[in-house]
Amino acid sequence: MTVPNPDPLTHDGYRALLAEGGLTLPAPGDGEAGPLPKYSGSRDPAGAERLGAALAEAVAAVGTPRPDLVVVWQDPEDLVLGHVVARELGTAVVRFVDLDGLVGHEGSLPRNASAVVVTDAVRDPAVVRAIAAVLDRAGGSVVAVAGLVAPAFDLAPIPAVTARPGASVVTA
Amino acid sequence: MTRVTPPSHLPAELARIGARDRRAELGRDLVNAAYLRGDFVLSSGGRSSFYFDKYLFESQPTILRRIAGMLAERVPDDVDRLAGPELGAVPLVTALALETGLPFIIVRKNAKGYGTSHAVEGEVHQGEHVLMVEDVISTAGEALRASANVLSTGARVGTVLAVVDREQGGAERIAAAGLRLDALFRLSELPV
Repeated sequence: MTVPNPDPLTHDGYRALLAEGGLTLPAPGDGEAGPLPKYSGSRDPAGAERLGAALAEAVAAVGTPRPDLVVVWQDPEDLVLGHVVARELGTAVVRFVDLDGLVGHEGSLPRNASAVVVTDAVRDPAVVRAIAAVLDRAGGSVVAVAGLVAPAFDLAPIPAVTARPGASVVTA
Repeated sequence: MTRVTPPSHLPAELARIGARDRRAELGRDLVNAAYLRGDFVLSSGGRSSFYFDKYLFESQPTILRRIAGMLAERVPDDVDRLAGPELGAVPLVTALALETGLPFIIVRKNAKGYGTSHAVEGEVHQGEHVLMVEDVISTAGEALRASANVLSTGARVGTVLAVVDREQGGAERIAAAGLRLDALFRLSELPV
């Protein structure tokens, strides 16, 4: 792996790390950029470590309540990132899945969890709503959405954080 | 003995009443088999106090056979091929294919990352008219995603033929995509 800039929080270094994982951001002025490619931590584990650690730091900086659970959506590509963030925050990870139109989760879901949703990018706000609804049923809530790029959707009142403050808002 | 000749319109009228009764009976059987009450979270993010578990009606041959028969009557004449998104619509499209003799394709949720890497399994040709078959339509996300995959092969999709329309915006989203939804039952027609 070649990382042009060792500091992932610089603009170019950050984009290079995302690209190593398969998420090539459209350049400013790109016309029809097409769907945003999916970042996969398994393509670049060292990069995922750095990005995950930065994400965890950004999540911790959001304030209270501090998350006690990391949630990832069903995409396997988000798992590595989710596990790095969970390890840094000292929480468990639960993977949510779409089971033929119903939303469920693998393994047990702790009650009253304060969860952070970890993903490369929110491509569909319905996913966040669905996760929040399942958590709510168990007395919990989504306290933040952590992505490698800022969501193109308004997720309020849930705060959205990125590993690099000011990372481009993109359209999925 | 005087033989009474029935009015000429009577056989057609009896057939119409018969079809209406069979449809009503099927609606009752669908509800009895698959209508679940509870607190469900849908993939649209909404919560629902009920859910149609398609597998509960699709796994009953006496129901599946009647569904296929009634769907077959609604297949447009110019359809070349049927399509069913995995997993729920696969038994349905199979039964309909057996009923109509039309070939079918299966549309994967995600293309395999190995082997053939096909998002569409089975044979489909450019320009063919494909009928998308779906079990239960809520917001129509799956039907539209599957239709987009079929369109990417060069085939065309005109209609989504479904068993139940939950009347949660799916028909409108399908229309907005330039397609038509034809559902055997709308939720408001079922005895729930």
